Amino acid sequence: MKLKLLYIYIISCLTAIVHSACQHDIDLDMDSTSGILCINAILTADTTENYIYISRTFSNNDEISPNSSRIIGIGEQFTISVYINGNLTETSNSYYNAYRITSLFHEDDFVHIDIESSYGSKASFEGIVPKHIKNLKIDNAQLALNKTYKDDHGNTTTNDMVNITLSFDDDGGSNFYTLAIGERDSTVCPIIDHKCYDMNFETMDYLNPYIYETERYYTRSEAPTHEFYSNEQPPLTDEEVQSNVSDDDIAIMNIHNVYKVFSNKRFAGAKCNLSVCSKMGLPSTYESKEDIDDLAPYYYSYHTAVVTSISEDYYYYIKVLNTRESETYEDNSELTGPAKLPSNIIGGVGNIFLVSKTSTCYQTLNGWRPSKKAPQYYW
Amino acid sequence: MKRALFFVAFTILNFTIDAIAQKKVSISGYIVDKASQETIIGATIIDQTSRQGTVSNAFGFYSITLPEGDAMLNFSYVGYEHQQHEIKLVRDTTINVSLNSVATINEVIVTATKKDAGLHSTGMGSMDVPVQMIEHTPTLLGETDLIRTIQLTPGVQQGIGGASSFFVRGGNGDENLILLDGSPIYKIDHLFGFFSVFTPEAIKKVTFYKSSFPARYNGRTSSVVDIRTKDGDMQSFHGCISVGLLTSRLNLEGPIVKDKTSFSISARTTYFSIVAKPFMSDNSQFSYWFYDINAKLNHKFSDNDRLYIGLYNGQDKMNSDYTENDVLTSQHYEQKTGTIITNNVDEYYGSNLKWGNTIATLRWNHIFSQRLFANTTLCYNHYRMKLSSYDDFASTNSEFYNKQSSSYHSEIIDKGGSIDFDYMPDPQHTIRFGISYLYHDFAPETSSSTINMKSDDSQPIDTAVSSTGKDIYAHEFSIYAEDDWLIGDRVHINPGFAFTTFGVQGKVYKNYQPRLSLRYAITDNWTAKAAYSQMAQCVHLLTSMPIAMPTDLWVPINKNLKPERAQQISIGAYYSGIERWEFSIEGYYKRSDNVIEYKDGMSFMGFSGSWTELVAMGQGFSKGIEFLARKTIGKQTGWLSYTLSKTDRKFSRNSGVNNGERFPFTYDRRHNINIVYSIRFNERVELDASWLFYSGACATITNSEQEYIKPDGTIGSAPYVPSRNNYRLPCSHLLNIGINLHKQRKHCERIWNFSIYNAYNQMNPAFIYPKTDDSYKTVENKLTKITILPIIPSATLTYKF
Repeated sequence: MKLKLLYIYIISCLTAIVHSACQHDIDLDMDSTSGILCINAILTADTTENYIYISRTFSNNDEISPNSSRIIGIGEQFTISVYINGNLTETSNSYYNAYRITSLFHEDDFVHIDIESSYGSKASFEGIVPKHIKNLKIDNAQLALNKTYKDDHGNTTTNDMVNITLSFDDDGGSNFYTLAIGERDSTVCPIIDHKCYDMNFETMDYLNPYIYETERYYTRSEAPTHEFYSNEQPPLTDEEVQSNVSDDDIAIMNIHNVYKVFSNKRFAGAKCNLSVCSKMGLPSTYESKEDIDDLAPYYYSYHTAVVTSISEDYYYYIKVLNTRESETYEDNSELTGPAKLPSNIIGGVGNIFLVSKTSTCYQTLNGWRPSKKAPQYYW
Repeated sequence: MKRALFFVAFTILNFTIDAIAQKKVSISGYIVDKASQETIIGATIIDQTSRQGTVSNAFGFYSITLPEGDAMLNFSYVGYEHQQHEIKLVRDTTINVSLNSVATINEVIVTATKKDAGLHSTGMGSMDVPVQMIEHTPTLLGETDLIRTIQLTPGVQQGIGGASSFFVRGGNGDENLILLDGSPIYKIDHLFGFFSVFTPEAIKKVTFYKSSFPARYNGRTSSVVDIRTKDGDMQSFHGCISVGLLTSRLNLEGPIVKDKTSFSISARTTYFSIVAKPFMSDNSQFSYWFYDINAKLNHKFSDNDRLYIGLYNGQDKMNSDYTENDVLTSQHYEQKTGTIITNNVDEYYGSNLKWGNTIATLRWNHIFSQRLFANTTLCYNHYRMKLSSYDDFASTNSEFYNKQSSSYHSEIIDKGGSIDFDYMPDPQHTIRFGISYLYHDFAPETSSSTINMKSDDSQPIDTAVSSTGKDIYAHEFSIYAEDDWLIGDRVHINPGFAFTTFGVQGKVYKNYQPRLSLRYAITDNWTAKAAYSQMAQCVHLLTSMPIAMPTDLWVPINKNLKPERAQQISIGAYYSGIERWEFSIEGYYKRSDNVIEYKDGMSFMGFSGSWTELVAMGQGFSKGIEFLARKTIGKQTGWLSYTLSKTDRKFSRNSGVNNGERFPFTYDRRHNINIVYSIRFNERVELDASWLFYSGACATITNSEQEYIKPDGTIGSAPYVPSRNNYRLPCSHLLNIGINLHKQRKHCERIWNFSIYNAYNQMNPAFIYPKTDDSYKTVENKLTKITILPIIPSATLTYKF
């Protein structure tokens, strides 16, 4: 609201100025930047399921192609050639904007990709696949019910959380990483169900009622995301490691590490220890007025931690994305204009990033039952 | 052994003889205006016999030490008659000199003399800005303005045309140290920067430095504007009243006790709201008002002691209120009647903004001896800003209302003191040294909001929230020494050193700032100069718009941000072989470290919060050549200046600014031409004109978008930015003309001033943004240009009595 009211003031000032100002149209004396080849991809080592997305820069007035890609010319075809350690491993042709790469590459491989358009445009990329980290493990995951904390926007929030501590070895590999946490949980709910098949219509009595117990299973799976909160001190920011940063300091930060990127500067030596706090997917409707302890559900939960080794280019790219996610960021900032996205494509724009993912799983809950009463029925 | 003893005895004898033969005598005193007894700063005193010289200091005091014997002292200053005093020097002597003003007597306009004009002073990149020069700069909206005069000098770039921001040799707008009687002033703008807070009637002298910074000036890295206000006429009462298109001014000065105590008061106010009212719509009310008051009391206890009490108070106030009828309808069920009642809801919204400065100074001048002068200053500086806004929805029967209000407040309080000494042991040395302390209290943000709601028959809900930002305290200490040292007839050097500390949030930053200026007189008409200076800056201005806004916030560095530091090298040549003309060419290279820029896409909208995250620190590189040709005496005066300059910025890849690639500074205007011309036809008619040309500033313009990949593999789109400040705006040029019609009346002089700002109505760009059509879609290859100041005629009537 404060921002809104400040805007009212700004508009008032500008109204006064504009009332006396004059407005004219002028030509933008600048070469068009539409139509430049734009290549984007995050290529993961040790898998054949990778995709390269090809498009071109476009202006708002350009039509969107039926393939939902931007400014791919009608009938334009692209040829992608992949070289690993100097050897051509794959050539694919397609009219579509998303190209599946089936070449398998591993850490330390030198990857070179050429993209050529049937219209004559060419772009290329080169990079080295980062090393995997070693010995990733989740040391502990502690449930913290109704935990109160300050989220990325400085708002005090209460949720069921899990405190996860994990560790890995840097071992002289990549210097930059991202962290994602995923959860898969199962809920087993005992149910007492009533069934009645017979009825005496004269007496209106139920005949041969029976009660049976059964169980219902619910599973929920979330792919690893960056939506967790750092318990670290110093906090898991994308900047240089800072010391003595309080919760209040974090609360008033304008730029948050939305994509949880960090560098090895935060841990001396080779061992990295991290402590994060993630939301638990516990259903909230487990209160009941019925005094039926036996109906409390059982919870089984598994957490996955994925540490992705990334390149320095990707690290700086993610920092820009973190800035774009900030509340104080504006594409049409009067003073600076929009953020310049880094690019590592030669002959075009966009980015291809080579990453190596390492994951580990940990059973957080094994038949855990809440202390509160469960609802009688799950439907 | 005998030879050694003989040599020692001979040497001692020689020194004794020399000492007896070279017995020195000091002459000191004050240089004042004969009519008003106002002290004259920077007057030149030269002994024709020995060719030794000096200048009067910031309080009009001079001291010169000469060999015993005959001396022919020549006293001169721009706009005043020369005076010669033939003296036989036998002992230390006090000579107070009163000079006659010639600028209004003779049919000439004098803006500088040969000796003042950079030829014989050590400093380069520095110039005096006489009041006459300010008065002969064509006006905008009837206002002559000091800052607009400074903007006409080479090496100074304008921001938005007509506004009072200025950028010196590639520096940011907050890198200019502006001193009002020795106290730094933070906010120098009225009306979004179109007027500065300085009323010309209150000004006695202005000195502008863009390089060769004397060691006594510290705290900013690009320029120093040292403004001294009038002390007050000790002989007679006089003043002037001026009524213009938007503002009126009053100046009064005179003795309280003749030759002992005097006062000077200048005041200015505006009636902008009255003038703008016919242009406002019926459903809006807008008012804007500002005032400035400069007051000074000057008391002379004796020839050795003087006391000055100065006060500046200025404030701006802006109100806007809008009403929108029937924006909503509210419905509620009335149980009594069993019907649904519908009411129309009106909206009332607006804002109230106040900002202003209060500066108080107490200065004591004491002359210890003929060679030692001291000035002690105590100062208090208070800048404050308060913004309150409201947005109310209310139904006509008051059954429903939703009222929101918010206020935002910030202020800076500085308290400090300094002692400065001028010591002139002999004609070859003028030594200045001193010490100062300034205590800063920055209160960046205090805010509060209230919400009052009621709907239908429900109970009202009232909510109030407030937050107080943490005050930031800083301690600034400085000690300096410099020596104006004449070596022979041709070489003049000014070495200096300043050591400053800035303590904030438990961290103390130390800054070592060497300065050196060198002048070599090649011939009587040719001079070469060179200068080197290091400057440091520990406070910055957070801006939210390209124009000056009251919500712009001064903040200090903190434990994570280092001081900005700049090093500048400049060399130049000066020529005055043609009578009444002077020519100069100066080249400079300036490198700044820890210069601040907003990160890409970031802006500050009045919240200090964690402002350090919004900015990044990097390097600035600036170089340029400035050419000046100036005619300083005669019926026709003026100057032509041309500046060719280039300024870049470069930040680290980690900074969030242009991905670590070099880019041009926003106000990197490659070419800058200023032509200023004044002619005095006769005693009654003067014409002033100025023509400005400057290359366009830089802006970040995108005309396409690109896709980008997020870490989760999804694709988004964002503007495609080839580089920050990739686009150069069109050039700007404008012609300003002013004519003064003087008429001497019985008890006063009447002056009509008619001016035209932007005489041929050139639509120079103040803002540009991509053009959109009616459906808010961007129109390809088109920009919308906003010009704030088209042709603006004005008239001002002034009475001087």
